[in-house]
Amino acid sequence: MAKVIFEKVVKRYQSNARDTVRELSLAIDDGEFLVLVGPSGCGKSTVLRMLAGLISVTDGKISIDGKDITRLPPKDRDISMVFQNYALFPHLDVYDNVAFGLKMRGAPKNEIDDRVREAAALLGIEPLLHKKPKELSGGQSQRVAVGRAIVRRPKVFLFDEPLSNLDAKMRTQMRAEISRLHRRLKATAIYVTHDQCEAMTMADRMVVLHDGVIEQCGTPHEIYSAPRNTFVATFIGSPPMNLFAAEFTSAGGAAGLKINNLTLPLPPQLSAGGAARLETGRKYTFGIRPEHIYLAERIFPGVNACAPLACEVELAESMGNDVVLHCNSGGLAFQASLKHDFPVKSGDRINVVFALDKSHIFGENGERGI
Amino acid sequence: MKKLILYLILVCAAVSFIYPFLWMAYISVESVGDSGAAGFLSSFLTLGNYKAVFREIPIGRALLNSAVVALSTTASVLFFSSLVGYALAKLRFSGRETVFLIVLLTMMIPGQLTLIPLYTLIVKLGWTDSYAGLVAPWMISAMGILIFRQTFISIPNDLIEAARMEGCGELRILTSIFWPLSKPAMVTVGIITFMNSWNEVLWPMMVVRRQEMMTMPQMITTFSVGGQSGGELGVEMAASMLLIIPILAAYTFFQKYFIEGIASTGIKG
Ligand SMILES: Nc1ncnc2c1ncn2[C@@H]1O[C@H](COP(=O)(O)OP(=O)(O)OP(=O)(O)O)[C@@H](O)[C@H]1O
Ligand SMILES: [Mg+2]
Repeated sequence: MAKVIFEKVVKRYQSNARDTVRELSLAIDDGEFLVLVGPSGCGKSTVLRMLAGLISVTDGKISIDGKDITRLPPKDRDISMVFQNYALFPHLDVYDNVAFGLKMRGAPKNEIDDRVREAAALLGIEPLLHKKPKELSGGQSQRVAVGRAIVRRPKVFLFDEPLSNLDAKMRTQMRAEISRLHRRLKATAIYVTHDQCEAMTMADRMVVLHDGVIEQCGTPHEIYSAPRNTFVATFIGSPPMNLFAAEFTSAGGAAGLKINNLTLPLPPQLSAGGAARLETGRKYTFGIRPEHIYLAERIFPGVNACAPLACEVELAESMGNDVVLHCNSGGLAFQASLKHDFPVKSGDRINVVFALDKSHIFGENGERGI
Repeated sequence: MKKLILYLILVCAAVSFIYPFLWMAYISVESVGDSGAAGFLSSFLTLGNYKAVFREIPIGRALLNSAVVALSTTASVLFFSSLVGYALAKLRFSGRETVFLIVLLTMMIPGQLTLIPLYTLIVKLGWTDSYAGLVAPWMISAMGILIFRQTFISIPNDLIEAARMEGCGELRILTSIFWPLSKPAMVTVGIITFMNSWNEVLWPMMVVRRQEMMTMPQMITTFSVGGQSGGELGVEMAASMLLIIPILAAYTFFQKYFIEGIASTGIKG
């Protein structure tokens, strides 16, 4: 059992004019795998390190299972942490690195041995037990670091961008391994990354952080399908969501959104009695993800598409199975992501449609309109 | 050709350094009576001079005193200097740079200047003729602090944080992470301190009068100057040899680390 609660936590560095973390409140359930994502410098590590006890909390309260730990030293918090550059002790071999925490806590020798071997078996690092950290590859080092974290069976695991020093293949593999390990250990875990792919695949729930404030908190699916504001909308998803300045119009009886000189019909989720919520003449932002733009002639049945839009492909970037098209339709620039089975080259003229039921409307302040 | 000249110069330098030592070693084993007469190889080799040293002065006790003083001074300098070095390198507190500056300043004050006040202090404390009087003033060293600080600064902070997460307090971090990771610095500071303490004559002369508390160099000096050796060079040299041997042994043993330590602090400093 380990429920972590942040209550209006503030972190202020003397050297910075603005608070790095601003009144952050968050509850993390027992056994949950929570991922903190956000751009570089948004305060992810700061949040994690406050929970770890490595830096002080300026204001607010952090508790684990109802016990206030805000001012406890790290060793009394029963938390373990995996660092970005592994932070293995160079003078100790793998066995002693993994056993370090247990030894510091004075566990009996045979128990240490049992637990170290169990953890080593779980992570497949048994053959490495008598190597020194400098003899290990990045992936092996990270496994050892994870081993050191799990061997104590702490209440909470913290990961600070643990995979960012690994190559792409290793990253995918370790990602799956950490997820599997978490399902097995069922401990509360908080994982920091700026890689949205990691966040989406690993998280039970994810928190999007920006400038020390939680922009949105929810399951990966919720955040992808219903971003709360334009920041989240563009931060999650790759390539990012296309955003257009739009105006609500009801000229000629038909309600619609005017974008440049293009008028789109109201998306179905708005027109079903919701039209009244948009005001004529007010500014809105219309958002559509690149993967929700289709070629007019290849539209799937059941997609609520707008009228075809003629545009020029300025650049076609092939990603292997996908191709990202940088399109321009009479001054309206956007990106579309298509399956690769349709040959499109830079300079082609194509017709595309927007899947309106997948579109998003944000108000003037960038907040989700509906 | 160039190399040859270079080596010749180096050999000359080495010889000029080692000659007095060899001469001393030779005199110490030369048979009594001949000493100083006609350079090398003029007579039989003997251990007579060494026997004379042990017979005439309580050198055993002096050896013990020296060992106690030098070892405890070294242990204490290693502990306290690394403690301060750790704080100056890795802990954040206001006035840290000022403290460091003060430490550096004390290195620039010549030792002779503080000798009298130190002496007065020891007398007031009633620590004359005691190990405390011999050890206490030298229990921490600015040079040690400097070397440790420079070495510790290059140890990544992540290791400290990892150790804190694993349940270490600051002292444990120092002893179980920083010490093993700075062996060259430990050995360098250790040897320099041990050597200084072992060779120190002036301070023991000031605070120790009773013969049972005298250290080796003090004893040998009093012995040579005080005329107990009967002016015999061979016996004096034998006593000096006894003084040097432990240092040579220690240096040979730790040589690898010592050179590494000097070299690395030189570059990083
Ligand atoms: N010791 C410090 N003193 C002053 N400012 C700091 C300190 N540590 C971090 N900051 C500032 O706090 C902000 C958040 O830093 P933090 O390390 O939490 O970012 P992050 O989200 O982890 O970024 P990244 O993805 O690059 O790791 C940054 O703007 C940084 O400049
Ligand atoms: Mg970070």
